[in-house]
Amino acid sequence: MSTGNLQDYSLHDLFRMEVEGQAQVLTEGLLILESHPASAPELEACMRAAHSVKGAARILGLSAAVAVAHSMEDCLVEAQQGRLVLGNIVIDALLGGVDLLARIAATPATETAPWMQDDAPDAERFRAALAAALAADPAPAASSASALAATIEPEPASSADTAHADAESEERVLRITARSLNRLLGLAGESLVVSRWLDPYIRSLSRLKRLQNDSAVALDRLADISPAMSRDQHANALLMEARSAIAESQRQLADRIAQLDLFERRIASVAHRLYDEALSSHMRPFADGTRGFKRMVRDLARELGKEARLEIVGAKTQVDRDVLAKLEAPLGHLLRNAVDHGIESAEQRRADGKPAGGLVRLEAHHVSGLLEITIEDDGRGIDLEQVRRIVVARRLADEDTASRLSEAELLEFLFLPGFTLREVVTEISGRGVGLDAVQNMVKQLRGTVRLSSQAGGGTRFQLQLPLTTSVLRALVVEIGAEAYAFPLTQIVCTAMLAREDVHWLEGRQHFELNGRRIGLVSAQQVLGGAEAKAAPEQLHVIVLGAPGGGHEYGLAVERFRGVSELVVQSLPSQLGKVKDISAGALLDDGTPVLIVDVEDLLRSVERLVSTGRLTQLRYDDSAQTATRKRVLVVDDSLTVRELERKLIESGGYVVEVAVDGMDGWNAVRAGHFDLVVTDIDMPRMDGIELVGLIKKDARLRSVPVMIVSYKDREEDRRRGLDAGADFYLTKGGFHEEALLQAVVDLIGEAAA
Amino acid sequence: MSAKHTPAGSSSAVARLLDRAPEPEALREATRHVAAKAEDLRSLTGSLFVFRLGAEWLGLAASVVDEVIEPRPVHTLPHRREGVVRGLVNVRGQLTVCVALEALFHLEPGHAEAARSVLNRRLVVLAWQEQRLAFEADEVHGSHRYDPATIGNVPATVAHSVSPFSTGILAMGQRNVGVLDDALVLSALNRRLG
Repeated sequence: MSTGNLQDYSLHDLFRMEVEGQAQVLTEGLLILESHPASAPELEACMRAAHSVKGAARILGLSAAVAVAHSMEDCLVEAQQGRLVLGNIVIDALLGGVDLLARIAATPATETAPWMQDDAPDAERFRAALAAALAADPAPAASSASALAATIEPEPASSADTAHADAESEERVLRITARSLNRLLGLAGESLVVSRWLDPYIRSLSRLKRLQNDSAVALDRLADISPAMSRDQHANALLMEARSAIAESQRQLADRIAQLDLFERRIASVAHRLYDEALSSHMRPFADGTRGFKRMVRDLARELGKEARLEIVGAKTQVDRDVLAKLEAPLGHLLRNAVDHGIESAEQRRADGKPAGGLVRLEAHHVSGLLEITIEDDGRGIDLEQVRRIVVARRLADEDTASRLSEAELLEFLFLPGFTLREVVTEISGRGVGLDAVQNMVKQLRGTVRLSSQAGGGTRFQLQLPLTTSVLRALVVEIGAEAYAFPLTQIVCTAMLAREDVHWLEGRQHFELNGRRIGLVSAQQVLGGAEAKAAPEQLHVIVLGAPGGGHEYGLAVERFRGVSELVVQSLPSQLGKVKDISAGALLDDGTPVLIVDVEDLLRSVERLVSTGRLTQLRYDDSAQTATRKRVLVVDDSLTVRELERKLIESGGYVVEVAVDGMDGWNAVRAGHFDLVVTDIDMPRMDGIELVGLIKKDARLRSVPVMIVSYKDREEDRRRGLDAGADFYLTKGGFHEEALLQAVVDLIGEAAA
Repeated sequence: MSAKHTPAGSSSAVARLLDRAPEPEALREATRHVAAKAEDLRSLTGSLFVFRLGAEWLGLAASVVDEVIEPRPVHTLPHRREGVVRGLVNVRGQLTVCVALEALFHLEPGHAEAARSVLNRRLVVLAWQEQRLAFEADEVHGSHRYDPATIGNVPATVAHSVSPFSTGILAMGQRNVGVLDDALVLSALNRRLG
């Protein structure tokens, strides 16, 4: 099986990978050159990168890329020889060239024909732009260039040196597909599970040894109580033989157990290390997700007529691959905000006594088991009084309240959707879709974001995120004799409820918790399992709450198993989204567990409540409900549904409802019903189809079905009965007695 | 079993068994087997993975079968308890979708309950194009090489529910094995997963 050999890549893929790498070198080099135009190592690196791309492009016959790389190389060689100083405008043009090369490389192999010509319009345009930039830049004479180089030589050399040292000390990184990484992790996990098998086995051997010891003791006792035996020479010899055989077995067994014990410890240690190592290869250096940012900050600042640069601290901080991928958009947004809103124009900064160039710092490090990311600028900060004015203007609070809001409270408003400090919406940020999107993403990763600001001194965002999304602390419970896990961060609390703590209110079950009344729901019903068994005297309940002050629900499960650290596996993609489930994992014994998507689950509960389908937990001895016959009413009209429910309930039957044929089909399979009453015309699945399905199902075939419909023509009646319905009642002539009588005729009285 | 415990001597039952003259029929069969020309073997270009579901013996192209392991717990999926998907199963540390082939073929479960032994059940893991699926077979025969020319038509009497998925019947000794069209089976399964 292929695991991503280079052989599997086409020439074109290789070119694309090479250009990706060289574009990185070029971008980083050019950004340093912008502030230190004569830095020799960067000029050399960039020139080589352009040269390599040129060579590679020539092999593929991508003449346009050859031309672009060639012009860039020329320009860099000129700069190396001191005949040219790279000013902002030229750097702009060169960065444009890098982008163009990346674009050419990213073109699918089948569509590269336009790039096969020297005079491809984009390449021509680039060369013209570069020529224009070279002409426009106040190109100093050779002498002044070298003078400039001389003045700033010492510093850039040192900064470039450290940069290079950095690059070398950085560990070699391999390309590996997510699939093989996941398989590696799976196998490591399996070896861990397999290694755990030995321990109970060794304990069983120890039991065997004790058992054998017992037989030795019995033998001794036998010799004690029959002294005659020791006098008989033959018997005595046999006894001695048996004793020494047992003693030898005991010795050998002890020896084997000790060896096996040693082996178990060795293998467990290896399995653990292997697993930890496989898990940690999920981590990538922070720098991997932040490569484009320096360039972005610079380009953006220039576009806005400002000066700004980005400093990244903690580039080697290890971050989970998935977290890193999800962070890219919010970090980019915060950086854009910092440049657009935070950093002032150079003139204003000088007037305020700050350096003309603004500084944005992006810092990542680990703090007590969390990943902390800070984005900080030295710009103007947030004007709290302005926030206060906008809060009042937008009627989010009255003037009196607003005047009493603390700084922290005022800053919270910035995270509201649509809240902006900008009067004018700019291209870059200030649409008001920013901070709320950032906050959502951070919440999705189960982290927090804090904002602080100092008027005139800058703004600071602090993100705290879990180090990894691949390990999750969760409460493992049993529902329908299968394992499910609830993320600890999403559980409000857990409770053990005695039967007398469960109250009835408006036909629903509730319990009191810290003075709040919480609705009780059977986990098994929500997850669509088979009908729940009778509830135990002590209910195990997980309290879940919708974020943002939604309802709280108590979910009754069968049993708490305990808290586990689960290594999260996404579900096989063939399945699509599985309702109420977010991912899967394996328990210590290797059996699968499903991780519950709590928000999805709460929505399912709300839906059950709103359609009145929520069933009650049954206690064992509630004999009258247990033996009452159960009827399912399927109708898409709320009025008809509720009317039928009332009518049939008045006969003492237990009634559940479903809102259309599909819903009914699900319900009829999940619960035991003695009768199904259905309409014909319904969305998603009509009654005829429902009847057909029931009558085709071996298990359900015997359940009688009654159709209640407005259609009173004989052919409709015929169609219903042909599908297998046992009775056809028209709504036209429908009154209490007729419906109830039909029910009684079909399944007898409510209590059997 | 060790020879040490058998009392030595030409009169023992074991010795008599070992010393008996071969049956003429067995001798002829062995001779025919040894004398078989290479051509006969060369025509065995097909390789079929043969397994049993209920009373039916079926065969899938051996190339789509990744491994065969002992059965293990299957975790059902909420809201998806009917149909082809049985749930998720741990295969070498990875959660893998487990399907019920008998549901795809509408084979009646319990048809041959007597012949079914839990001991013989195996989890068969299929792998193709980066995808993996597992299913439980009641019994696994293993790989069988055959001559594609010997595949016969599906007689109308044979399990009509399987026939849409099979390309023919292969006689394997006493057994008739329904040869499945793997592309058809896999795409039908895939369509029913989501």
